[in-house]
Amino acid sequence: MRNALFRRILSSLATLALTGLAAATLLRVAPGFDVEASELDGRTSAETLRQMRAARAGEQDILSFYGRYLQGALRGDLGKSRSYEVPVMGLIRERLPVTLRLIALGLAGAWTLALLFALANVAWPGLNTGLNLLTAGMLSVPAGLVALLILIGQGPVALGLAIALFPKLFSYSRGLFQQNAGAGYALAARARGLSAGRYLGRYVVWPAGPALLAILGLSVNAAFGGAILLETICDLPGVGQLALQAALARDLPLLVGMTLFVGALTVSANAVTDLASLYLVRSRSGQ
Amino acid sequence: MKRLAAGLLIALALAMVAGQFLVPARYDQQFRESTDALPGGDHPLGTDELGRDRAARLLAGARVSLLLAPAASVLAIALAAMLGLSAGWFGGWWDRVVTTLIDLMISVPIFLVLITARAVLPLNVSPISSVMITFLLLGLLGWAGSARVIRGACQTHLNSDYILRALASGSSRTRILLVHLLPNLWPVLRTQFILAVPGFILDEANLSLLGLGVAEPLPSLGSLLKELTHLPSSANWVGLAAPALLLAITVGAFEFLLPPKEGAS
Repeated sequence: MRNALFRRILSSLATLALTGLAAATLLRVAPGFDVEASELDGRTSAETLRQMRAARAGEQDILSFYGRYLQGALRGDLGKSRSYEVPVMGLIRERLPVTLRLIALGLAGAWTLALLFALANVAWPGLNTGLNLLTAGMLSVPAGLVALLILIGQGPVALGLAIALFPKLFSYSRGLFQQNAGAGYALAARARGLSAGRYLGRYVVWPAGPALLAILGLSVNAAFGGAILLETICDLPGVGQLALQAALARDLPLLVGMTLFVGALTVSANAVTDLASLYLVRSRSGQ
Repeated sequence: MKRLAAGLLIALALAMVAGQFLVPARYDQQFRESTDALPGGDHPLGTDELGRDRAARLLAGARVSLLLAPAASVLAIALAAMLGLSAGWFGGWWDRVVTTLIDLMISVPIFLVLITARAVLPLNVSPISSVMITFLLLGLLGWAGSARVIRGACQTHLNSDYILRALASGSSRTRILLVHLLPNLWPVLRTQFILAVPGFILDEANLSLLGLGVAEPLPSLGSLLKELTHLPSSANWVGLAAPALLLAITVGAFEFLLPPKEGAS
């Protein structure tokens, strides 16, 4: 277990470092990266131009830029945003509670609905066709459209995120539950007269625990993607909206900081749920 | 249900081809004397605030999305097949490199990667260039999930009895790859392709809603959705809702073409 923990943390850190490097490289090679609109203003003096170029000189070599950036990040300093001219960490700290609240509510709603519908489908297989149509319908709608409808209807934004996440979570959960419900030991227990509640709890839901935990980590990742759309379209001042603004403004320090930060959250969520899943499997098998 | 879905997609493809005959107006032609017109007469779905025929724009948008999403899928699946197959086939350090790349692509929200990649490329480009950039990006960034599945399938086949028997009977590695492995992986590739198309249509819609997708005046199913914001103040709800409905039907039809899921994947 200790080896597995060590390997998972190491691989998470490597993934995170590569994520930041990829983001920094992408922006560095982007056309127009080292040109600022203010440089084209005829009123800018030669001295100011020289100073502006000198300020960006450190960003020319991507590896040295990224090396210095990572050193700062380890001290909690993600640099200064070029478009907002304030520390990146301050911007993220200011907007993070909005996003975390949205994601927590969205995930709670989506998981509750997904598990309830999946269990109902196993208990009443006659619901299968109706739920298939519902899921296919919901999977066919882009998250952006859900956000637009929430905006038009002035509904809660978290509901939009829950609706966007629900269909995939439901499909996975139902698949797992149906697999467990059809297993020989579950059918034998049911045939011996086990009550419906105990059958569902002990033989359908409980064995699905490790797999559901692993999916929980992936759903955090999907929730961040959905949050970008919902926050932008519904004008919610969270980290997702900030990410789009940073990308549109080509604000390198802010975008790399955001990518690292969001990457750190999603990679950590995946690592924690993977390890919890592994722990659950091992503790159940008595290893 | 599969036949109905396939029939719907064929009907849609035919409507796209016959679009010019069904609706003679061009997607960017302005009828200045009838802006914001209600459905009827010359304009079956009415016109937008610039006087452009909504039906013509819907057909042109569907053409853009339905021609280029499969093209992006071909690119993504080709990349996924190259990486997944080579990782499964060669194993060792190359397999570890590919697996790390896949983990990297999957661990960060793909939409964050997409908007970053799209935003670093020029935004003020011609409509045709914007279409190319959007769908090329989707193809180049959307391979990771499929590569993981193809790598897994490749390893499963390589460890199976029929491949061992072929090896024992003296078949060359090239023959095993071309005659045994690739034909058996074909259903996996086909499923991954069908799975990727609706995903790319939805991704394009989301990008266009944020202003990072297909540029005006060229429409796409995604960019037409933006007009739904006029829904509360407009009487032409049919014309405004039609792109959303067509998008949902198209993506839904692709969903029903997929083989039924067995357990969790």
